[in-house]
Parts: sequence; structure tokens; C-alpha cells
Amino acid sequence: MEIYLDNAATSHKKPKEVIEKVMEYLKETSCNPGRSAYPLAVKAGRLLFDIREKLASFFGVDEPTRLVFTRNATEAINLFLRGFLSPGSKVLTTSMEHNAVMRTLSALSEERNVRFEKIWGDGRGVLEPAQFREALRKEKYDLVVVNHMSNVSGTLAPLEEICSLCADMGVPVLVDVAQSAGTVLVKMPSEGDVAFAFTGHKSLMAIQGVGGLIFNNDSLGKRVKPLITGGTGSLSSKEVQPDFLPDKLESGTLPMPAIVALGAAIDFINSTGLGKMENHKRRLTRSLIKGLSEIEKVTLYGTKDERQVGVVSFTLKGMTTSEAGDKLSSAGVYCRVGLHCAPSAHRTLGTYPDGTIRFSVGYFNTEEDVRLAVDEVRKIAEKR
Amino acid sequence: MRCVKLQKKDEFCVLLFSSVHYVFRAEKALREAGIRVETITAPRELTSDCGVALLLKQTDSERALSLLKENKIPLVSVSPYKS
Repeated sequence: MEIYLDNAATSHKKPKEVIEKVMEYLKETSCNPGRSAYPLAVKAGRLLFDIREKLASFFGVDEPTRLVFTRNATEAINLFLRGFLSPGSKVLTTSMEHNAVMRTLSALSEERNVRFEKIWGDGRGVLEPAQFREALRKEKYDLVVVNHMSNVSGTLAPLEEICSLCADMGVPVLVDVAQSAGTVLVKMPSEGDVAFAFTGHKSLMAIQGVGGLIFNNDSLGKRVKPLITGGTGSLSSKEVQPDFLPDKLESGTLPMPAIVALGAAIDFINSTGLGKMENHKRRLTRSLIKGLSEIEKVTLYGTKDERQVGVVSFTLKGMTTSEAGDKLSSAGVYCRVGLHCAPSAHRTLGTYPDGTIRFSVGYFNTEEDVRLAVDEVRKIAEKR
Repeated sequence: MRCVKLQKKDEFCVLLFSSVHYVFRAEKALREAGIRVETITAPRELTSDCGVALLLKQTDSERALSLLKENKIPLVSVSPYKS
């Protein structure tokens, strides 16, 4: 038996359409886009253009130049934070952030005296708009950074309200949509200054190697300095970086096989229906919560309602998470245990330092997977 | 003449863009409007920048420029093409 419940780490398996498209690209195109005019290079260039357009539209952005490809969400977050924050900048963030945000802010605190404060979620990981309103009234911040969906508890942040508040206060927002993009509808707000950092290989169902940063307006993108500089295929006679998007923030050869996979994955999501996929994951989440809550030794974390999607974290009384993880792995249930690179989120839930056992469902999981995984947890719990 | 789809008897012009992204955006917009264009290597006599440019018939240039403006696609230059 092999049941994969680690989709918050990366989606598994990938849609066959994604795999086929990558194979086709590698066999028939596999060229550097936009640098030359021979047919294969032009074909690659058109592919890149079409995928950028398709992906921007997926996020509700009508100007594809505002989408910049990176290797993953962590690089996108680094690109924004390092390219946007100045010495002495003040950042408001939350206790539900991943280390992609926290370690970068900590490093910038050392390097540039960037100061940051956290809004703490409640014991379920819930952040209230009122907390942001109060913090933004008290102090002038240069940026708000918020995780749309916790990789630990699956809790969704009230993104619309937070972005609307920030727009009213004139504070830009960086949103980590690594977990939520492809899980729920993630639409770019039109008001204010907002950037989304996403990755392709989690719920968007592409392969590893591509992520990106997308802005809701040109001026915000223009305020971000590049993380790396180099060849862009444009303005080659100049030894200074172009100042226009996406070239300014996108130097070097792009990971085209991963980008092609992302294009095919977006086609897959659009043709399947994001709503249908979300409903499926919500049903599985509810089944997991129901099944696990019936086991006496299980403690569940999160809201256990519609604010929790795809991710179910729990602990087993009398057993470390590592021991539980090994036993589940031996039984063929694959999940992630520990702190999930988000120590503050675990402090919020009260599960630091041992962490939790995390089951995260994907579109290809079934009710049978959930039933079998819950059965294995029950067996492990009862053996103690 | 490197152009195979366009006729030899025609006179051509070259559209240069700052970014390859705009080349493909322009190509799509012009083709959708029924204008025949070809993607070529940016001619060295027009620019020392590497990259690609669009070739089209002189007679289509006025309509093409107005379409580019309509679609907000920034253009660096439009020049006669010497085969």
C-alpha cells in the first residue's frame, strides 16, 4: 500500500497531460526562448509568451509582463523582500509565515536593519482583519507580508479584507500563495499595491523548478530591484540591467521544461475546474478531520471548518511525531512530520517544538486513501 | 530575401521592440488581425542588440502601427528592410 498525503510539500502524482507536454517539449523544442529567430527558438519564445499570458490571467492579472518567473516561491519571496525593502524599513507580518519569509526578514534585519513585527494567530491559526487594522493604525509600516494558507494547519487568512485594509492605508502587501494557488481561487486585488509569490509544483500541479512573482500594477514591479542580473535577450549592447518587466527581474536562461509543465498544469486545472478540485479537497479534508477526531489519542489542530483546506495537522498522545511518522511510513502512509519550516506557526498552535503529523491531500487522493490512512493512525494509536 | 511566406516583390519594414515579450505579443496581435508577419533576427544594421524583430509588408505598416498602439505594445522603431 502507498498512500501519498504530502501534497503540501509537492503534488503527487502529476497530471499525465503535464508529463506528456514536458516530454513533447524536450523532444521537439528544447531551445532557449527569445534569443534567436530560427524556428525552434521562435517556437520556444511563443510558448513562453503564451504561458506567461495564461498564468497571469489565472491570477486575474491582465498584463502578463507583471509576471516574473523564479525557481520557486522561496526565490520569489527573496526577490521581493530583498528588492523592495530599504535600510530601516518596517514590516508587519504574521506568526503563520513559512521560513521563506521569516528567515529572509531575519537576514534583512541583520543586513539592513529592517524591523518586523508579527501579528499572532489564535490557537487555530486564525488571523483576524481587526488585528491588522489595529496594527496599521498604531504604526506606519512599509510592507505587510501575509501567508494566504498555512502549510501547517491549512488555515486560510482573510486575504481580501487584509488587502483592502492595506490599500486604504497605502501599505503594499506581499502574499505568499505557495499553498493556496491551485487549492482555492486566488485572485489579484485591483486596489492598492499587491504582489503574490507562487510556486508551480504544489497545488498548481506542475513539476519542480518554477515559481514566480506577480504584481497588480506596474509601479510596484518597478520598485523592486533585481536579485540577480545578467542576460535577458534584450538590450544586449548595454552593460546595465534593463529597467522594464519582466526582463529586469528575469536574468539568465529560464527553466523552460518546468514552465511548460506549469502551462500544461494550468490547462489541466482550467479544464477540470478549480472549483471542482477545491470541493474534492474540501470533502477529503472533512473526511480526514472526522475520521481522525474519532480516535481517542488524536489531537487535531486548525479551525476544522471551511477556513481549513487540504491540510490536517495532528498529534498522537504518548508518541513523538517522528515515531508516528516512521510507523506511518512503514505502513505505506506518506506524510510529513515535525515543524514544516514554520516554527512560529507551531508556537501559535501550541505544538512547538515537537511539531505535528501533517496529512495534506491532493486532487488525485480518494476517500479510500483517507479511510486507509485513518485506519493506520488508529492501529498505531491503539498499539500504544 | 530570407522571407519565405511574404512575396519577394513586396517592400518590407522591420519592427524593433525593447523586449522579446513585446515581439511575441505584437506577433500575436498582428496575426490575429490578419497581418502577415515573420519573426527574424534583429538586423545588425538597425541594432547591435541581439534578439528578434518582426518583418512585415510596408503596405501593412500603417495598420500594424495603429494596432500596436491600440494594444499598448511599445515599439522601439520601424525601419525599411533591405534584403
